[in-house]
Amino acid sequence: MPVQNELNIIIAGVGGQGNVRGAQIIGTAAVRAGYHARVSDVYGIAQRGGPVVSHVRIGKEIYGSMVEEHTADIVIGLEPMEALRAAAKFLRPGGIVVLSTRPIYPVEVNTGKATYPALEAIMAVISKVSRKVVQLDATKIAEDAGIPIAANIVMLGVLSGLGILPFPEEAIKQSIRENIPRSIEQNLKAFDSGSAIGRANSR
Amino acid sequence: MTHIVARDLPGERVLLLGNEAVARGAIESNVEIVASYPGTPASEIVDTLALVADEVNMHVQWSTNEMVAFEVAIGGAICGKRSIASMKHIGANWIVDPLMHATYHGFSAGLVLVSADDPSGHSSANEQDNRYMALLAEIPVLEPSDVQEAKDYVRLAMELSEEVHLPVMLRLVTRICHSRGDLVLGRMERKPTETKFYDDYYSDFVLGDGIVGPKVIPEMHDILHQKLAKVEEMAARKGLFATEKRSKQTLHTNLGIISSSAPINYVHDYLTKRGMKGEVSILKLGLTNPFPEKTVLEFTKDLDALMVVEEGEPFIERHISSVLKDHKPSLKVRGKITKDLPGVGELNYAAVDKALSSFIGLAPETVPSEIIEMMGAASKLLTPRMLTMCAGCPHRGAYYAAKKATRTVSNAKYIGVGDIGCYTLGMYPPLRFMQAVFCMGGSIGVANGIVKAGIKDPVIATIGDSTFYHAGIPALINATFNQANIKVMVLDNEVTAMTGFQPHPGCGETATMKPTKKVSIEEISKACGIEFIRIADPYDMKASVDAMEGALRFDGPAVVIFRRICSQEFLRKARRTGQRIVPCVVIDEMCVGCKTCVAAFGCPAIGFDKGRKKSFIDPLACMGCGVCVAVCPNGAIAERVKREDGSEGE
Repeated sequence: MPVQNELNIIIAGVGGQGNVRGAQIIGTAAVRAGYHARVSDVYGIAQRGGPVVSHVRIGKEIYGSMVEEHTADIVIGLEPMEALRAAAKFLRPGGIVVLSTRPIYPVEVNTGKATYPALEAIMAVISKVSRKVVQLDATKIAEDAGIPIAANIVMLGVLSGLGILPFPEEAIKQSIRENIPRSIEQNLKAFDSGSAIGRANSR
Repeated sequence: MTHIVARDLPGERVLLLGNEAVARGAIESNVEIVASYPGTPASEIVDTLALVADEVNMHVQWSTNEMVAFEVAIGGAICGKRSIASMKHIGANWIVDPLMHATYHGFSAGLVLVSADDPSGHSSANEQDNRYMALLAEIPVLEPSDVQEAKDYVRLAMELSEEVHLPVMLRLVTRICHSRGDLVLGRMERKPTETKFYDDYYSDFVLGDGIVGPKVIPEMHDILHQKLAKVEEMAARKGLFATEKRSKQTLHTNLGIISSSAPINYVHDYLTKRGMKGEVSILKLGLTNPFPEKTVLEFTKDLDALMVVEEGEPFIERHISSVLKDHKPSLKVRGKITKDLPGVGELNYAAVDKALSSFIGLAPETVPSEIIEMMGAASKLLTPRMLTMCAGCPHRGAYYAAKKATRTVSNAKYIGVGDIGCYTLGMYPPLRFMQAVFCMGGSIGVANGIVKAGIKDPVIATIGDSTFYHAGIPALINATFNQANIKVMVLDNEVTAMTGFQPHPGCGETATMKPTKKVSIEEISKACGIEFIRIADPYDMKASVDAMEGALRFDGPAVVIFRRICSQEFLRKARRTGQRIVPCVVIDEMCVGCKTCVAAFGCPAIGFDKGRKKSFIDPLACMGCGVCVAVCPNGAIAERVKREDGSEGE
């Protein structure tokens, strides 16, 4: 699983979904594995509800903390429309998208002023440039693991299971233990569920 | 386990947030006093230090506002303790007064102002390059370019401050504050220093000659200039200027790039990616004020062309142009002024790619056609996510009630003025409560003027709890003093929410979670001479409307305090204690599809099913505040109750 020069990952979601924490977990594992890591979180002023994009760069010679547009190897979308928004801006041709299918509706959609795009339409557009799209209801899987809030950890599991990270699964699990304040066992269970899905999709 | 910033593991390589790295730098360099007011992107510096303050024997505080924070730091430095005041760029506007005084004083320990600019205004009301504030105040500015330097420059700034006897600004930008990167930890040198008061302003000048004024002020100003003249050489000795001369001669012309702060990383990434490393000379400025003329002139001596890549205003670029005018007028300087780089907004790789490609003579990067096609298709599907208050946010209930009150009292006519906090979001649809928004505390001050301008409709100022303490009080006194008939809504969610739930003077707890006396907003209002003061729970619609109606009918300045804990803070506590959240529910048979709950109230937990023409509540998003129960004109929303047998019902 060597990184040739660098690995660029985008985690997109809505404020409160935990993508900042997810990015921190990957970055910590990368540093422990001997790589340089840069992580950057781009979010607005709201505590909840706004789009949040976390950039993760792992490599031997990297400087800036933001992933250049259209160069992300992987886009992780914790929410379908944010996955599309991030893929359109950051995914490189032939990149991989991991997408959680449970939508969080913007106020404009709730008030009937805008329409939330159909999942099939989102998938069709993303598939135009991606090599592979893995879709799952990460919140459902997290609920089954006994910790509904851990959709972000499920997605890290998928990422790890896909075999594209340049370090062993245990490194990321160790990073979860260090970066998650409580309910470690449920989080690790959520991670394992995600990892199984990732492995099933790794070819 | 102790936070990594407080573990003495010299040589260990770890991943830290830029703000955590600054915190670590303060710990490593034996800083003993740190004061701040929360503000994105700087908040996590003190958030982090507050967690470990006791372990490392450091005094860490959230102060009432930035000015007080800086004054606290002055007090520390004047007594021999290395001191830091940290704040966001706009927050630093509050400290200009004490800063302009501090430059004429000498301290017995280092005094560092950490100022975090927010290019693009990700979390701010403006873009502002605080290097110009340092230029005005005539103090040195250090600019770290990555997380390692964010840590290391704290020590350098402290040492420089002590050598030159001046406050030093550590200028950060969002991309430093909110980036994580790997850095190598240094040794923690924690040792309590002797407390010793020393201020050369009074000992050498005022007391010495017995006078201030035109006889000594220009003399002190001259001393400031003499101090500044020594800074470049001191900075050079500390390695704050890094020159990489070109090592290859492939290019016909000798090109140079000068950069500082986060943008230098885009330059390095670009040169690496394009295989141009070593083809261009690079000067990285770790100190940008006073402008390092000698270093820059030495660097530009052999150059044929120069590009400046910097974040914010063309601060370096302007200085270089004025220096080169006398020394090397033939050298063309490119950057923001020449429009090679954008004059506004945060820099990014694409902007730097375009500028440097043109500068070096390479083709700029192009976007593959399949990506362009995909972006077009995506744009047809994507809808924006407008900023909105959280589900269960008490401010939503307060605004909704206040609007209702204006309908009964003033035919729905009023002018609403807001300022800075989560409650600013009340200006957006569907509430659209405020017609104007100004700076911290600006709501009450501006409302004073609107009344005096002759507006006859009610003038309502909306201010948050933390903002009230920060900047609202003088303007409230002014309303009494000059009898301005304003109506003040204090949106008290019992925490500084927007910046990450920091405590304020009304919380009864300090930054380091020590119990302290609560300062009461109602008692302050009373002492300010306000004769109509009501406290209402914004989850109680009727009580809130009544309170607001009373205020609007009162002849004179009035204050209504809408008090209810922030819904996110409530949820955080509920998660910790295991308290169950019981969401509200729409009773389908009673919902007539009038959309009041979604179109007028706008809680993000409520949706409208177009097919069934009925509202619904997302049980995962709803936190059960129950305000929508009172909003629904048809009684179609119910609070669920937890039955004794553990089941739920309506």
